[in-house]
Amino acid sequence: MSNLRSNLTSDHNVKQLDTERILAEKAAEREALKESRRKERAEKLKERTYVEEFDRGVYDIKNPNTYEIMLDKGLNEEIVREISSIKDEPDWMLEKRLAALEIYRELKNPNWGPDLSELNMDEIATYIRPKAQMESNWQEVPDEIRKTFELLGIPEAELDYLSGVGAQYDSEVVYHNVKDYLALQGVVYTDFESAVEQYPEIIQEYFGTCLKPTLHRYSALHYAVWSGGSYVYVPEGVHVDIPLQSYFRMNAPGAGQFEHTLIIVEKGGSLHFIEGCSAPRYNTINLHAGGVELFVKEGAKLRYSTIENWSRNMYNLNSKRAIVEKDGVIEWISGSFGSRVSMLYPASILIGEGARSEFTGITFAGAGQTLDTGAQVVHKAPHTYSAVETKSISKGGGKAIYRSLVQVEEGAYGCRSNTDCQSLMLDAQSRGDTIPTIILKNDDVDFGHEAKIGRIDDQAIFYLMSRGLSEEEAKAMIVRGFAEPVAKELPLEYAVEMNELINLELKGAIG
Amino acid sequence: MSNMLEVSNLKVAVDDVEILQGIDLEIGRGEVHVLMGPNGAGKSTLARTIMADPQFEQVEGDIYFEGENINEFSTDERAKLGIFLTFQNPLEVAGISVEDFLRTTKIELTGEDISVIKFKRELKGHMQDLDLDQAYAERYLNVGFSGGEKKKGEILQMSVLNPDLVMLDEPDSGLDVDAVRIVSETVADFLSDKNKSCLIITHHSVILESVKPDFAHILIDGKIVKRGGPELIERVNDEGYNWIREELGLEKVHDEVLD
Amino acid sequence: MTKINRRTNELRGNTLPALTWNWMDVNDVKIDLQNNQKIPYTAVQSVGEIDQELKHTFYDLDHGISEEVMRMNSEQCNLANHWRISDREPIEVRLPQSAENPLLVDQNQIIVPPLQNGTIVLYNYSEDDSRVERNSTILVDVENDAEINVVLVQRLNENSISNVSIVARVGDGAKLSLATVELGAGNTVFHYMVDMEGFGAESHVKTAYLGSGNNHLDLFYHVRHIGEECISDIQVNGALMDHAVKKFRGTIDFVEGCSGSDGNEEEFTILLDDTVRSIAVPLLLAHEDDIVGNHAASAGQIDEEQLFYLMSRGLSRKESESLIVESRMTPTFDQIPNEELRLDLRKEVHSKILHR
Repeated sequence: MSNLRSNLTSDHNVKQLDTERILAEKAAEREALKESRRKERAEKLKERTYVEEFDRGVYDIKNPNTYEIMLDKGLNEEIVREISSIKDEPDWMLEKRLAALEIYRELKNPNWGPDLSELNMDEIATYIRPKAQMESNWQEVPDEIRKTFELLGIPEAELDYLSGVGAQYDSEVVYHNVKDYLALQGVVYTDFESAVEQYPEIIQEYFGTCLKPTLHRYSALHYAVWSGGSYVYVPEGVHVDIPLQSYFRMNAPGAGQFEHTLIIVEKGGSLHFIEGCSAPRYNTINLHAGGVELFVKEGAKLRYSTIENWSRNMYNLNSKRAIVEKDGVIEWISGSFGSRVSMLYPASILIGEGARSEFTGITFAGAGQTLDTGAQVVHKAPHTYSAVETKSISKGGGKAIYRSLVQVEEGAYGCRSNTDCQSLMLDAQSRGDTIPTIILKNDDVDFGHEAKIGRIDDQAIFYLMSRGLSEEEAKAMIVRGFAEPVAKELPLEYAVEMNELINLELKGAIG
Repeated sequence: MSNMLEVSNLKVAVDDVEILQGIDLEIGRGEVHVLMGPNGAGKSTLARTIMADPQFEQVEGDIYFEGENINEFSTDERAKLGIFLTFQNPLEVAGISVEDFLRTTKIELTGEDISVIKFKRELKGHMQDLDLDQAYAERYLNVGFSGGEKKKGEILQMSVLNPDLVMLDEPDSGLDVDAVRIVSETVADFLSDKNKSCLIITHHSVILESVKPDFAHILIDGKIVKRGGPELIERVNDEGYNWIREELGLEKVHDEVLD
Repeated sequence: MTKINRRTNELRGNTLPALTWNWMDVNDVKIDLQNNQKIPYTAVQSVGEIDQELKHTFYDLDHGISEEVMRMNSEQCNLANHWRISDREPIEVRLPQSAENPLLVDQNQIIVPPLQNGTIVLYNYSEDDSRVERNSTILVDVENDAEINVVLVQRLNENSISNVSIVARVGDGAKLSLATVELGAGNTVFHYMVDMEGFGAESHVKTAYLGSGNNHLDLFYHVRHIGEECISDIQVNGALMDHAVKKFRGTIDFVEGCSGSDGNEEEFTILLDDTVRSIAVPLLLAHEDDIVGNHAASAGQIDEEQLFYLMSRGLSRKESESLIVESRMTPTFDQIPNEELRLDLRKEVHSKILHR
C-alpha cells in the first residue's frame, strides 16, 4: 500500500517535472521571441524626433492689443446688459440674452469628453470691440487689422474667387462686402448686428430655433453674450455660384469670441459658405463658442466649409446645426487643426423626405491638443440619406477623438446611412478614440458603419519606396493621401493651406 | 394548352425605367430555347421576372405556366409548380450544408419525407456526374466555393430538385473547358427527358453543342427582335448582333443597363 | 414555493469606459434585479471551493456589471463553483430555473492551469412560465499557454431577468474563446471584461441573439489589450423582432504598451419588424500606435436578393428568413460541443421566426 502510494506520488512528480520543464522551455522561447519581435517592430517604427513647438507662420502674428471697448472679465447680468446696450439692441434680444444666461447658470460642464476644468469664465473677457468701424471698402479697414488679414490671404481671395467676404476681429465684424450682382438678386450677406437691425422679423422668427440655448452649457453662454457673425439669405431659386467667406480672427488674449451665423437658403437655392478661424498664441486661455444655424429649405443645397486653425490656447466649444427640408442637401466640410481643446459635432436634422446630409471631416491633433470632433445626423423623415467620412490623425501626444450619432426615427422608412471613420496614429504617445452611437427605431433602414485605427501600413510604405520614394516622402505622401478626401472638397486655396498645415505638422514628426 | 410556358406582352420596369417592352414567348413541352442578345438587353430580367424577382415590377402582360396564369404567384409558389432558375451569383448560406439544404427543399417541393440514406445515394450520383468531390455535400451552401463550384452547385440543385422548366442564366460563364463540358453534358442528359423544357441564356456556343436548342430568340433593348432556329445561333456566333441592328435600323452602340 | 423579495432603489450598471452624450441613454443601463435576500437554489450542487483571494484579485480588475450587483452576488450567492480545468472532456452544467428555483445567484471560478485546454458550457433555462432572476459572476483565469472555450446559453422565459458578468484574465500565449447565446429573458444584461495581460494572448468572442416580444438586451464587452501582440475579436450576430430592444456596446481598448496588437469587432443586426430598436456603440480606444483596430457594424432587413434565391428553390418567405438568420448564428452555435443542444437552439430560432 505504502509502495503504491509512493509510486503514485513519483508518477505525479514526474508529470509535475515534465510540466515545469515544458513551461520553462516555453518561457525561454517566448522571451527570445519577444526580444526579436520587439526589434522587428522597432525597426519598422524607426527613430522618431518630436518637434514640440513650431512656427505657425502668419497665424502667429500678434498685434498690439488695442481696442476701443473691453468689458471686464467674467460673466454676470451687468455684462450681458452692457453688451446689449453697446449694440443698441431691441428689447426682445436682451430678453433672449438674459434667459440664456439663466440657462447657462443651471447647466454644468459635460461629464464626458475632454477636461474643461481649466476653463474659467472669470478669466475670460466676453466682449472686445476693436478700434474699427464696420467697412465695406477694404482700404478703410485700419492698417494693422488689414495687414493681418492680408497676410492670411483674405482680400486676395475675395478678388479671385469669392462672392463676398466678411472679416471679424475679436468681437466685431470689421469688413463685409458682397458682389453687386448677387445683391441685385436679393442675396443678403451682412454682419449679424446689422441683420438684427435691418431684418428684425426674419431674425426673430429663426434666431435660436435651430440651435437652442438649452442644448448645452456653451450654447447657453453663446446666446447670452453673442457678438458679430454673419447673416446670409439666399432667395428662392437663386444659385450663388461662387463661395461666400467669413474669416474670424481673435487677437486679444484672455478673450472669448461668440459670433452667430444664421443662413437661410430658400427653396431651390444654393450656396457654398466658407468659414476660416485663426488666432495668435498666448499663454492665457481663450474661448470660442460660436453658434451656427442653417436652414436648408425644399430642394435647396448648402455646403458649409470650415478650416479651423485656432492657436493652442483656445477652447473651441462651437455648436453647428442644420435643419434640412424635403430634398434639401447639407454638405459639411470640416478641418480641425488648431485649439487646445475642441468639442465640435455639426448636426444635421433631416426633417423632409429625401433630405440628405454629407459630412467630410479631418482632424489633426498634435502635442497638447485634445480634439473631440465628429458629426450627428437625425433621420426624421422617410428616404433620407446620410454619409459621414472622417479622418483623424494624432501625433506627439495629441488626442483625436471621433464622436458621432446616427439616429433613425420611427416612421423614417427607407433611410440609408453610411459611416467610414479612419484614425491614424503617428506615435505611441498619442491617442485616437472612436466613440460612435447608432440608434435605429424602425426596420426599414440600410445602415453601415466602418472604422479603422492604426499606424501607417508598412506595406504601403514599402510599395512607395519600391517606386523610388524615400521613407520620409513615402510617409508624408500617405498622410496627404489620407487627408485627400477632405482636401478635394475644398476650394483650391484652402486645400493648399490645409496641405501646408499638414506638412507643417509633420515636419520632423516622421522619418 | 400545349405550351408549358407562355409569356405575352410582358413589360417590366425597375424604378420606372422600362427594361422589357412587351415580350412574347412560348415554350412547349420538351423544347429547348436559347435567349441571346448583347449585354444589358434584358435577358436576365426576363428569366428573373418569370421567377417573380421582387426587384422587377411586372407592369403589363401575363405569364402562364401549364395553362395557368401565374402573375400573382410568389417565387416559392412558382418553384413548387416546377420552375427553376440558376443564378449567376448564388447566395452563401453559412451553417447549412449542401445536403441539408437540398433535402429540406426537396421535402418542401414534393411534400414527401425522403429517407436520409436514399437521398444521400441520389445526391452522390448527381455529384459524380458533375465531378464534384464527396466532401462538397458537407460544405456550407456556396460558402467559400470557387466560381466553378458555385455554377456546378446550381446545376446539381437542378438535377436533385428535378423541375419541369429550367432557366439557365449563363451556366457556362467563367468555367474552364472541362467544367463547361461537364455542365453541358449534365444539362443535356437532364433534358433527354422529353417532358422537360429549357430556356438558356448564354454567350457561348460550346454548351449549345451538347444542349441542342430548337429555337433561338434575340433580345435587344428589351424587345425580342428576331426569332429562328439553330441557323440563327450560328449567324450570331459568326457575326455578332450588329447585322440585326442594321436590319432594324437601330443604333449600333447601346448603354448597358442590366446584364 | 419560494418568492423573490423586492428591492426599492434603482440600480444602474454596465457603464461605458468612455462616456458620451447623456441624453442618448447609452452610457449605462438600468438593472432590473429585484431580489434582496438569500434563498436557496436546489437544482444542482456546488462544485469545488471558491478561492476568496482570487475573487478579490479579479474584482480589483473590474466590477462586472456594477459594484452593487457584485455585492448582491456575494451576499445572496446560492451556487458556488470552482473548476480547475485539467482535461479535454467538456464540462456541461445545466442550470434550470422554475417556480421552485426562482433565484440563481451563482459564483463561478474557472481556472485553466498552464498548458491545459478545455471546454465548459453553462446552460441556464426556464422550466416553466414563472418569473425568475439570475445574477451570475464568472471569473476566468487562463494561465500561460492554456486554452479554454467558455459557452454560455441563456433561455429563460420572457418574464425573467438574466444578469451575467464575466471577468477574465489571459496569460502569455493563452487563449480564451467565449460563445454566448441569448435566446430568452425579458431583460438581459451581459458583461464581459477581459484583460489580455500576456504576450500573444487571445480573446475571441462570438455572440448570437434573437430578441423577441418585449425583450431588452444589453450586450456589453470590454476587451483590454495590455500585453504585446494580443489578438482579439468580437462578433455579434442577431435578429430583432416584435418590440425587442438591443443595445450592443463593445469596446476594444489598446492600452499603452500593447504593441503589435490586433483587435476587431463586428456587429450585424437583422431587423425583422418595424417596431424593434437597435442601438450600437462600438468603441475603439487607442493609446498605442503600433496596433490595428477595426470595427464594422451594419443593420437592416434581410436582403431581398438572398430571399429571392431561397424562395426560387421553393422555400416559403418565412422559411427563407429563418434560414438566413440561423446561418448568421451558426459560427456561435458551432462552439457548442453538445449536438443535441445545438439542434435544439436552432429549432427554437426557426420556430420563433416561422411563427411570428
